[in-house]
Amino acid sequence: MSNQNIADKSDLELVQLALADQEDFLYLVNRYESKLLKFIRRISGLSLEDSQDLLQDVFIKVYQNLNGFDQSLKFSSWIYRIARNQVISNYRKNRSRPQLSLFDLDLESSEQLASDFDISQGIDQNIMRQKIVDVLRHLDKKYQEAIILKYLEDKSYEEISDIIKKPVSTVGTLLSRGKNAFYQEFKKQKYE
Amino acid sequence: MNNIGQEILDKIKEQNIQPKKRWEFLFKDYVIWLVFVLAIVLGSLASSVTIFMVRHAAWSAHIPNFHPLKRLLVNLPFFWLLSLTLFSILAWYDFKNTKRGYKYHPFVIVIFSVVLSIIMGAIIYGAGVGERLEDIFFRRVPFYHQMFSRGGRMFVEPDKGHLAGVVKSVEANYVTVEDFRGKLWQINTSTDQFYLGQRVILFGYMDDNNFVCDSIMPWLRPIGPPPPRFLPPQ
Repeated sequence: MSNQNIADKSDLELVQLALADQEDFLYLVNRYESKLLKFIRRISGLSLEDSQDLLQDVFIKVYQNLNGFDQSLKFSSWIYRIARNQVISNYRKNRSRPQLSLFDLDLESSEQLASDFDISQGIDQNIMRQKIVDVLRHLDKKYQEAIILKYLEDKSYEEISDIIKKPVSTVGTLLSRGKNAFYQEFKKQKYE
Repeated sequence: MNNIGQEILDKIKEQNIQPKKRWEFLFKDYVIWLVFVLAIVLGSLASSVTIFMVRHAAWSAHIPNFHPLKRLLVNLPFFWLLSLTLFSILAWYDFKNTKRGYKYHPFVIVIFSVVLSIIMGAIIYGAGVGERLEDIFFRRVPFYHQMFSRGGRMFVEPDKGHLAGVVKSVEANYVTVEDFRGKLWQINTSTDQFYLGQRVILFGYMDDNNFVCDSIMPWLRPIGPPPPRFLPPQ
């Protein structure tokens, strides 16, 4: 199958292809591996190697559960949910609290987040990036996760609700409280 | 990075990993929904008994110096209220594990399951199931019998003019009642409204060692006539 053909196919069509032929699972892996690796690194703070190992486990889980894919969800929400669960289960297994990784907050994302939060104020981009990571690291895990999904992964409220399995109203509350916590921590760090 | 896809595929082949069958997911879904329906049905039964006991308890029995709180403690169906609560919690816990259960706020699910149980309970109560179920529990479930009897002992104060117990025999002109402390009393009364196993409250006064009964009333006013098997032989 040509690359163009694959690119044109929907996620659901790729799922059906993978169920019919194991080899075709590669198309789904190729479509999501870089996005998921970035997401895993962002929420787990694991090294690249450990994140890749975790990513393998995620895709194995995805493959095993292909028949259970709930078609009322977006496939991306479903696969992000599996990735998030795998990070949590890895955290429980190793008892190491996930730490936000600086590596995965690229300049573009930090700029975008600074603009969304209206905190640009002409600060040097690298300093701002460092500051955002420091602030995010100090936030409660649930706020950190909601902010990452909304502002770095660009997910809608509905998608976040499907990924973290909480009502949309709770997502709204998490984001609003998370934003407040972010501003407070940002102000605190500004004067340190 | 480029090798990850191939590594995954190799691992899948090496370990002969297969996608789980579709029926496994469907089965899990059905089990979750079945447990939810079961929790609602059991909650409804508990609710129907609660409605029966609250509506048919002897609230109107005039007992002098009987503290209202004590009356409430004796008459409130704690066991059934607790059952209704537990089944509502089970329904909530189960519902949130359905595919779309997480979309709803836990508070909404709890309220929904309680309201559903109460509505269904009211319908079941209307059909007389609540009364029958309570009666079966009292006769057949020892811990429930003991629990009810323990509450009933609060009513057993013959010196103060009242006692409560279970009808043990029904004769032409009298009934024999065993009070909740285990003592037998023979009560002269018209007997057509009583049946074996019925819980009753008696009012009167002590004369020597006899309890002279002024009035006798069922503890739980029956909805309809008693089941024929509990009626005394003609």
